[in-house]
Amino acid sequence: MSRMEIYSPEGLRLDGRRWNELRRFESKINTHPNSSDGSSYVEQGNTKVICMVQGPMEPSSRSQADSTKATIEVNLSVASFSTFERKKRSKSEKRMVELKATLERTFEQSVMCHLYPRTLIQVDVTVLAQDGGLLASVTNAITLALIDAGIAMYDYVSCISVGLYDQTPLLDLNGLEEKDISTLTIGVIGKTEKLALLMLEDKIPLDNLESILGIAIAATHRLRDLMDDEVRKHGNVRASKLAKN
Amino acid sequence: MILSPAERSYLYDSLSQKPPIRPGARSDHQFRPLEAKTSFLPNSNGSARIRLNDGSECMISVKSKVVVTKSVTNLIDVDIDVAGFRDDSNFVSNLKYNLTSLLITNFPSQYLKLTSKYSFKLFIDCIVISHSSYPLSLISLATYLALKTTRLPLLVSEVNDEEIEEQPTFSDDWDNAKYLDEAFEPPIFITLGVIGTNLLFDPSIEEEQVLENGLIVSFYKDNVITPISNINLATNSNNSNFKGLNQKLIIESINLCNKYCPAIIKALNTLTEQDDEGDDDHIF
Amino acid sequence: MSRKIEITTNEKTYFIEALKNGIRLNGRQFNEMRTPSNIFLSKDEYGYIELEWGLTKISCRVSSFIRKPFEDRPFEGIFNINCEINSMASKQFENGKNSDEEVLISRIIEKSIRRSNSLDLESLCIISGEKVWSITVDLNFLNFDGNFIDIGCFGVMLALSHFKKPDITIINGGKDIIIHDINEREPQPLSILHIPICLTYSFYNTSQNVEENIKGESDEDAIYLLDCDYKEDLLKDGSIIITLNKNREIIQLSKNGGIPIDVNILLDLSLNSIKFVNELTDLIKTLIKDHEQQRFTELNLKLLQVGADR
Repeated sequence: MSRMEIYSPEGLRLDGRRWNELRRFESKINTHPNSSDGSSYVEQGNTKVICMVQGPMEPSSRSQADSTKATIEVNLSVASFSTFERKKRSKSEKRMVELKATLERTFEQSVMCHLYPRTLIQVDVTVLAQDGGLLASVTNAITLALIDAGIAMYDYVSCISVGLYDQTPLLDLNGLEEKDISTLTIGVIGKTEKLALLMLEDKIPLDNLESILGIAIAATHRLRDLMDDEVRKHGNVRASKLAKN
Repeated sequence: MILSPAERSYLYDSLSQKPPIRPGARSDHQFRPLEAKTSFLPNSNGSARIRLNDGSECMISVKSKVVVTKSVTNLIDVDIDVAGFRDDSNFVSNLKYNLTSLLITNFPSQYLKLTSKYSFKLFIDCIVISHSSYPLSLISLATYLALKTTRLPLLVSEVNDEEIEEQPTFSDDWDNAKYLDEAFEPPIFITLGVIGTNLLFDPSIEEEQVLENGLIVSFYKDNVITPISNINLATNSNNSNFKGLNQKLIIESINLCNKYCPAIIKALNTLTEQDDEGDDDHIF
Repeated sequence: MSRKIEITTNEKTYFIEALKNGIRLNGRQFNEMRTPSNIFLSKDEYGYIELEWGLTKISCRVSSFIRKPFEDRPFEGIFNINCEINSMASKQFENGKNSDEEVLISRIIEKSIRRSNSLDLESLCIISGEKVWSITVDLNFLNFDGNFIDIGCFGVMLALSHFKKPDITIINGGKDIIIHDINEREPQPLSILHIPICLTYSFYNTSQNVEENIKGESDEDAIYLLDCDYKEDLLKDGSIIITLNKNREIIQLSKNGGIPIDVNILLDLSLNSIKFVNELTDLIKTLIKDHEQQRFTELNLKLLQVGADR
């Protein structure tokens, strides 16, 4: 393990949070009104993600048109300057393909795709800075951008990462913590206890799974509220502009 | 094809008037309004973002790394990523080549020199999030802003390390970090559209469709410099108006750029100064 | 586009109706696995295995060579898994092109085995910074009858347990090494720290109302099947892959899309899985033990007795 203390005996983490505290979550929607149908910007701690949605629109290739439902295409690009050490990432890396497929499949279920047959919904995500919880922030950004685009969804998909240090679950890991302890990322639809997305890449004891999932679900519900606040705030701004005219 | 034959012909005729009548009621030397933000990436030494009214947007990050001067061929490395284009496509390669060669030939490398052995190497990464017209000048202006606001940590160890086996050490205090040089104004590219005997600054995507030729002019230290090249700005569409370039127009383009570019540089400088005063870290 | 296998609506309805009545078309219980059959452990070559699991058939080969380690990890050997799926297995897989599905399969096998350190990489080091063993596993899918991940992972672990690398001696004070032929000296087995077992559960939504299911208003309608065959695989509404080992550690969890799964069901499934994990782990161990025994008997070694009669 590292020289740093991931979780001090006093119950504080590297960045001064307690075990069940989220990082600063800031989001904005409709950030790119002129270049996309829906857009969002999400900051979760120092992880920063821009997402733009185009569509539903006519697909450029016939193979992307499904006569029963909309096709969702996610393009994930992680900027080479997003980490402290600059590193060029290829889009065909297996990890990127896996994330892209995971995101596409998650949103296929939570977007009411059957309402938009023969169309393509194109989601472009740019990760500007990463400091842990990449998949979670990207998922949250996509949810907000899809809502901004006015695409029908069953509910918000809110996503969070949780780690396990010894016996203590740690919520919303930052980059340093993520390097050292195993991380579980979950995505929940609305305020249910149903998991739309689940990814664990390192070992955790089976018996701790329950406590980790418990805190993670509570956090996703909180995030859903935070995102909902932002959407409503933006809605009110829009509505007041309409009223003035 | 974004314009119908009738639209093309209408646009062509209005642009060929003396003076030209441009769609956004712009005069021939007027840029589209742009919105910019600098120093918003805490992980980078310098960063800038430019957004145009039509939604075109470009982000630049400048990162530095300490290298042994002898071990590298270039102290500047440029990488461009355009949404929707493959990294190895001609379109991206051309943009990258243009920008790389402009910076490598004109960048004063003494700014990057640290000690007798070590230098900074700058990694300039551009992400074009969306674009409609040819994005070279957009990228170039954003790069200008990013380089102008790039700060490098202050060296605290000996400058002359010819004899000593020591790696350079830096001040921990970011407030001590220095700009490249107050007076330094990085080189920029300006795109010009040619139609009849008119030269149009910063053509929009609709204008690009009917241009007779396009010019890329480089500008550095109050003067137009080489390379000046011509290009068909309307990519991926077949522009039937495209024809050869009248030599006189090249001379005229140099005169025009010498006349108007200082104003562009001045505007960009004002922008960085204003941004310095404002103390919000939000990108949007 | 890959050549998709189409399933008629009638077939699908029939399948779902059967599930509602608690019947799987292949006659298994919902959480019943097929048992691996025709397991072939090569006698001539260490690390080559073939096995059938229902109609899914795989072959797996482990090979080794000596190379320089990566600069940032001078004490660690190198371990790679190549996972090859081509149209031989089923026409839905295309040759030479990695579809998302294929990438996911190989990523999960890799995560389960390589990332979880089931192979002790430090034991592969010969001379630090100079020479290490590089172990490569080639996994080939010969026929597809569902559940590539579980079977692939099982196959790789079986092959790794079966594999032996030649013995070596370091000479000249750590400068050179002698690789002993396997006939000259007994080769060394790999040091395997734990045996990860993947279990894939596929789910099916039997209710008509998708919205209720997604929002979690009705739970009873979801059915979870373990170890699905190819038809069940095509009809599934989602799946979850749980990788566990005998020490009750979850090594990897992934759910790539599909209908949402209730947390309680996830917990139940994981807890129930332990039983299968134990069975399969023991199976690998017994297979290897029996094989060793057989090899030993065939060698017909006589114990050399040293010592004078008193």
